Amino acid sequence: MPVVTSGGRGSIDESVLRQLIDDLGDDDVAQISAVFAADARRQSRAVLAAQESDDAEGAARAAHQLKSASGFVGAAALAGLCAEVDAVAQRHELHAARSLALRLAEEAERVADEITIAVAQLSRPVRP
Amino acid sequence: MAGKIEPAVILVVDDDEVFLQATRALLEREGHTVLTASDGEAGLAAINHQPPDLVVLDIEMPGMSGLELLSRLKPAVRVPVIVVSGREAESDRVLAFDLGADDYVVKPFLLREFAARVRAALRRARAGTEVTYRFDTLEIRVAARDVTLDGEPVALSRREFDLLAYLASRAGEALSREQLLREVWQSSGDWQDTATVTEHIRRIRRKIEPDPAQPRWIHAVRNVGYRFEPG
Repeated sequence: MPVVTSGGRGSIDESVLRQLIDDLGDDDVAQISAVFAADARRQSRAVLAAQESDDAEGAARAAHQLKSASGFVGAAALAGLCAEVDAVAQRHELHAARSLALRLAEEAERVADEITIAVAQLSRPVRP
Repeated sequence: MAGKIEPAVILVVDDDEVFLQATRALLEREGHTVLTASDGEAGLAAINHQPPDLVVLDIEMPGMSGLELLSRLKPAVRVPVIVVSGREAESDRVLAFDLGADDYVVKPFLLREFAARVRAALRRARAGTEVTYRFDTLEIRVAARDVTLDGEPVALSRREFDLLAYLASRAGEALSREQLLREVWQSSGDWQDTATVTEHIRRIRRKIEPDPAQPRWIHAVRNVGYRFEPG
């Protein structure tokens, strides 16, 4: 079953990845997606840890950075969750946001798993 | 990509590795040499050591932020700066422009548009910089970015210099605050207060006018803005 979908279904917007490949080429996008996958896992763990220790500044910083990167690669749902965490942290309500932090971590893991496969699928030459 | 321009040396300062990789790939495809720094201290050191042709600067970095880096750039260092940020608030944009940013782009952005903004910034920076304006005792050297009065150097901030040089380049013309915002700050009265212009004029007058209350060079034009009088 394909993991890449268009129109915002699933975790990654195919049209965004396709545009990135058009602009930067297969190899660079493959590298960027690998960096993003590692970054998504790292930042989501940082958000969870910050939520556990009620570190609003740490959570906001990690979420904010992951939000930008997520939007860049077409992971709109993850970007949205990051924006929520950022907003909650800014309001100093992080202590009550455990489920939100967990949802962010789950989505980050899903996107990290899917993006490398998605880029490889989109980079595959089309058979005549 | 369309809109060719002579290759430049571009420094990208950002702690976001995804963004660093993407902008490096994009700008190298355009033929530019791309240097990177992942924190403000390293970025500032790189600029002061050998100013690049353009800087792409994230304002949200731990340690020295991009805004702090902007504020610590030496006035004599003339390098266009495109600020990138995940924040869209007007206050962030105003502050970045007031500190000397030439453009402000919100992440995530479309790569082709970003490449076009880079080209535009480079074109502006390269256009007609070998100019000196002399008005009696006041001399403004555009390329060197220095000002002297009676032979003595005048210390101006980056934006003060940009504003004075622009007024001098249009000596004799009445220029509105909106126009000055657009030309000097690459901004607009729609989302930046024209009082910024008024405040910078006030500061410049304090530094170059024999009597700021009765200015010799920078005159207010009622209901319009300002005019530089060559005398």
